Amino acid sequence: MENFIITEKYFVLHFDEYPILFIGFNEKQQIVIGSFLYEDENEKLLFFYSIVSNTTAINFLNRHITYLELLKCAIDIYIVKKDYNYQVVTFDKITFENIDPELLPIGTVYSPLVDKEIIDNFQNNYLSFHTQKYFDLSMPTSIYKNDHFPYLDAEKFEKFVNVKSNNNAISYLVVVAKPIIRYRDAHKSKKYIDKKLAHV
Amino acid sequence: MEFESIHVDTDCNCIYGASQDIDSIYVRKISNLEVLEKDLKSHWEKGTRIDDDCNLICGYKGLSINIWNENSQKSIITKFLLTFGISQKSKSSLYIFKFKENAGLLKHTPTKDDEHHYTFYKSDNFKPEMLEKVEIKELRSFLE
Repeated sequence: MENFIITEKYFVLHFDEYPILFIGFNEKQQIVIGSFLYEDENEKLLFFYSIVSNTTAINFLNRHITYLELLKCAIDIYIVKKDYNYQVVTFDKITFENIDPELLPIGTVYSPLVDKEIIDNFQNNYLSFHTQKYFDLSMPTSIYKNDHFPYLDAEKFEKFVNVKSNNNAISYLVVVAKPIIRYRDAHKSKKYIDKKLAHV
Repeated sequence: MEFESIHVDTDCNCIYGASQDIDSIYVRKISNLEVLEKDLKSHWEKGTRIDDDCNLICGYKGLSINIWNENSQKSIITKFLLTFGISQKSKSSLYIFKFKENAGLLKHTPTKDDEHHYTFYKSDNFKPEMLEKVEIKELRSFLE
């Protein structure tokens, strides 16, 4: 299955005759954000599908970055042509630099206001999936090499793992991810996190 | 008014609760500065097919329009500008119009994000001339 296909948690952020802006997860549990482009002369619907990091998605949903900025830092971008039953007809993987400027969003467009519940849903779903992947602590380096926890520097994160690897690293990671220490707090000091964890 | 075309391939009664309104002003997005037949095609006419949910089927068989008045204009423009900001190549003009007699029937079909949304069901005799143009505006003009 192609990476841009949303298989879970499909959610429309903006609807106007068509789903104009939407989000979900692909089968690899990566966050996919799609947007409607236009209807071509052959009555086909064109869309952008971008695979983005968790940080990018959450920044976008929280309106910290524009849709244009999201596209700039997307991991992969596809242009997808669909029929009126939303079946994929063709698709092309493209780079941001090669996008026809006519297709780019206006630089001042942010995500519509979204309930915090929806943002948390994406954040927590993503984190719980990815923390599960790292239950195997024989590969600690893979944890901090990816960008799932960008606000934790490698040293701190390694300590987290080491501190708890003797008893319950799994629950520790899940606790860090949700809901006691939220993702946005992960950059705070170990003292702050330890204080929070003391109340778990 | 007859509505056989709309009901030819469904058991859903799409015009139940719908009525005619030749007094109010409505708006629909169109591609250019003139109305083309393709601008007035429903999703169903373009080929979208779904099963078993009459609300969805009737939604696809009708045309999405918005009532255009003092109360609705601001939120409609906000919604359309967001769409335009995301997809600049999509429909970029507003066709503001009134219905003439026997064009069809309307149902108020508000959504979570759009309380001014209506669905228009074309009668069997519908022709684009049954819409009376009030004004056509470019969405871009609202950006300035």
